[in-house]
Amino acid sequence: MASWEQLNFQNSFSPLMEQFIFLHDHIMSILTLIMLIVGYSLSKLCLSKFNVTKQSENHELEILWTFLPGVFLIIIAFPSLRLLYLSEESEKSPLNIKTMGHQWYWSYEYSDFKDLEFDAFMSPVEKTTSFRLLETDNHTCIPTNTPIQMFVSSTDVLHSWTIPAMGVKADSTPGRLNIINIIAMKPGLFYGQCSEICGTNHSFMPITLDTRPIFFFKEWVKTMINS
Amino acid sequence: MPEPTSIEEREESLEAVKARLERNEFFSAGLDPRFPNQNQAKRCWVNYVDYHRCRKQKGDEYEPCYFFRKVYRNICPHAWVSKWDEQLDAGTFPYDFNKDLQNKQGGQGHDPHGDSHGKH
Repeated sequence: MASWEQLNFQNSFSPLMEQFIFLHDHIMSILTLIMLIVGYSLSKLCLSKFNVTKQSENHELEILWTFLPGVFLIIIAFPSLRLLYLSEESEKSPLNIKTMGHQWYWSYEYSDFKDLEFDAFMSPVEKTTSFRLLETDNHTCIPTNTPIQMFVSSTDVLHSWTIPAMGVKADSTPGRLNIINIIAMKPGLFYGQCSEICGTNHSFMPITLDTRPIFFFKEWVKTMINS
Repeated sequence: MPEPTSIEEREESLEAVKARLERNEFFSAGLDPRFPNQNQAKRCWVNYVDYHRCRKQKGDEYEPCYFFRKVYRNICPHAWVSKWDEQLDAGTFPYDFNKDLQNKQGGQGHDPHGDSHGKH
């Protein structure tokens, strides 16, 4: 989860998020290189007491500094496009989960298990023993190391379902059924918040994802269908 | 043992679900190459209509129809299905199943590529 003064991404817990971080680092290294070269050249020129005569009417230099940015853009664009398509790549999942946005809570449906359905409201701030404004009364449980397809929709206005540590976010739109693919690599509790302004209590409809090894996931399902 | 026919009889019991869990048997609708989009709303609708059209044309006891039901129940939000079920009961569902039946029956009589034309 995110913490105070955190400038970078959250730790990754899915292959997709790992790739996002790799791309971010790749682009940042190129940006740093450009910043250094341009910064150095500018300061050198500004601080120089002489006119650099070789700089004006220099065709080779003009060609170089037109051509080089293009090369840099290509080096950035191709990994970015690859990841864009990779993030929407569907793979056959053994489990589909549906989530509906409501004003102002999320509801979840596990249709494969006897219509296992529940709502997830934010835990009251004064009662919660966990993170304030992030904890819900019911956790959404998924098995680890298993591709999961999440179907996201809404019953009223626009919402957005997200778990930043997994690198997933999808708009929850009335009449649309968006899919997102999650593979959780480790067990744990992951938090997200509604990411589309949806009204008064927009800040108070968090998402808690509980990832467990398949054995414990099955135990959770049994407990839920018994209750 | 006779084959179950009604939808109620086909519903899995809690014990059956638990036993299936023990065997690691999950059902998911999987991927449908007709709908490669991020938006799967159309896929949900098509499977819902297909199930009811299949039952109208082939009858309640025709087993393959229930595959469509399994798929739409797996991917459609419960709220959508309840709304469409209510519309079906009220006769306001925006799809004409009878027209399908008429087309099917009419089409058999006037099929230009049918066997009857080939024999002339």
